[in-house]
Amino acid sequence: MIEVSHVTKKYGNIVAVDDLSFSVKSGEILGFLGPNGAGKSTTMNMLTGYISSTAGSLTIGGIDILEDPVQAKKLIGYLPEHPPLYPDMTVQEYLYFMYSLKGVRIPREPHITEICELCRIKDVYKRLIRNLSKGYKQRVGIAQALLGNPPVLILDEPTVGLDPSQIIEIRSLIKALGKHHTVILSSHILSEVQAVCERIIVINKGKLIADGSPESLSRSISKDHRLLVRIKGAQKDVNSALSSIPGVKAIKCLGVKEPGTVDFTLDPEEGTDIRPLVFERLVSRKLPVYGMRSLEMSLEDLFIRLTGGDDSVIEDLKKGGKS
Amino acid sequence: MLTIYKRELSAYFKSLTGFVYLAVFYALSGLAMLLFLVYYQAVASQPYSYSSLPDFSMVFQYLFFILVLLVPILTMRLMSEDKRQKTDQALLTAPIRLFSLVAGKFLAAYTIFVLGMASTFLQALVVSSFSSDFDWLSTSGNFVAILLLGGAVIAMGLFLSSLTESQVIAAVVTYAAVLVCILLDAVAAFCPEWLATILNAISLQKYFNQFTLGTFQLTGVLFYLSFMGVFLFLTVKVLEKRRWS
Repeated sequence: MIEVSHVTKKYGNIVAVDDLSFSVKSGEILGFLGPNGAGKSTTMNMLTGYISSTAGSLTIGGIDILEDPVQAKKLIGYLPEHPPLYPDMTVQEYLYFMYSLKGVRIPREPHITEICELCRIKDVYKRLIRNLSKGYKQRVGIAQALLGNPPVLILDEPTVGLDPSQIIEIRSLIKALGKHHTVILSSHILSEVQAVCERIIVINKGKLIADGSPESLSRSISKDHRLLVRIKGAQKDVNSALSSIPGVKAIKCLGVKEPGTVDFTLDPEEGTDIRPLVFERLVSRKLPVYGMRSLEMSLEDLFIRLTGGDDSVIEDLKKGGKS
Repeated sequence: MLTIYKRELSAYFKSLTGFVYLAVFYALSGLAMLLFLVYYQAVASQPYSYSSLPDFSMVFQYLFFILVLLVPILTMRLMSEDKRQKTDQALLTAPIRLFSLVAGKFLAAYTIFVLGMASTFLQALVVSSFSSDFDWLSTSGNFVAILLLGGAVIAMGLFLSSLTESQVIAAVVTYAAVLVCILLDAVAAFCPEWLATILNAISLQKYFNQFTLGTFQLTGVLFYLSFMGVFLFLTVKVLEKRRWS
């Protein structure tokens, strides 16, 4: 459905996207993951024909976005980073405007009513966009992208500015949409992409660094989790108890977070599960364990792993993506 | 195109720009009319006046300056506001041609301008009803001239607005550009002949003056139409270039 091949975008001397290639099959939900400034929005803007690429080609449903922009744009619903809303219009006026701007052929009233129900904006339907909260603005932006039922949806950070319950709603909405649409969704939140997407592409500094399913991504990054433990006892007792556990590479004291306890992080050696050993050791020293959990790897850690010369992780991801 | 046109037209009245423009235009053109009537009365009351015909062209001389003063207000937000609000992302990723986008915006501004000019047409009707020998021929020539001039200035303002994100910069630069176009006449007088020919050829005022003097010239019509065409074309190219740079 979407083909991106060897796309490069330069702003003067700054390379925003560097020789990026990937393709998205029809009906796939693709997560586009990367830190700020990785080139996510730039790539999306190129896909939707808002800006052009310096080199390479982008096709939507077989139509090159630069050669036949009008036909290609008909296939796309786009939610940019900042929803393109006119503050002086009401939600209704705005949706009517976008409806006719896109030249939608579906009967207007039932179509817009349906979309408003999906995005839950019926209760602000007659209000000025200027006066809406950020969450509602975001949802009007999503509604706008859905007008005309385009086969491809490109959503740039769709859950930014929403409260947690709205985030869950929007995620399930995107999942539901993914049954009939091809969706590309960008985010810098790892868990979000894992929750919604069938496939994840990670880019950094404009380069593709990983492409695979969320399972393969999480498997390769959760292999050796850092462990956080909270133990009742004096710091030096705990320290001596933890220091000689086999399989522990490094320990670090985080100090007192709760009176009478100390927090430690433990780095296991690769491929070992140290949790039972830690538990047994602390029991044998009569040090009560108040809490023990694996620290989730943040996106930053992921990038450090993916970009910091740790090729095995990338290899893993590539294999996982293909299997 | 119709969608953009409707949206821009309603935006003029939602942002009050349209109301303010029309109010100021009506007030100033009314003042021009008043000056004309006072002058005409003074001339007509003299025993051996050289002319008893009310030469309505005088009003259009005033209107020329009113227009130059006010039209940049109409055009300043046309393109720049979309860029600032990021709504250009919706417009430029929608399946429409860039030309219909530009044309829709141009026509919306032009409609407001014509609404303003309609008052002058009413004034002409009133004056003609009091005078049996009102010169409709030269007056209609004047109307054609001012409608063309308005279109030319709007096209130029639209183009300049597409270059910036700031309405204020768009307005100031448009004022400057319009003033330069007017002053070209005066500059031409001091220039060597070859340069003067060129400057005269692109002067907004020269062709306008020919119309107010009562001559209807096809070159003038073509000049204004191509002036509009060039700037609308350039606006489309600015939008296209943004995609390419």
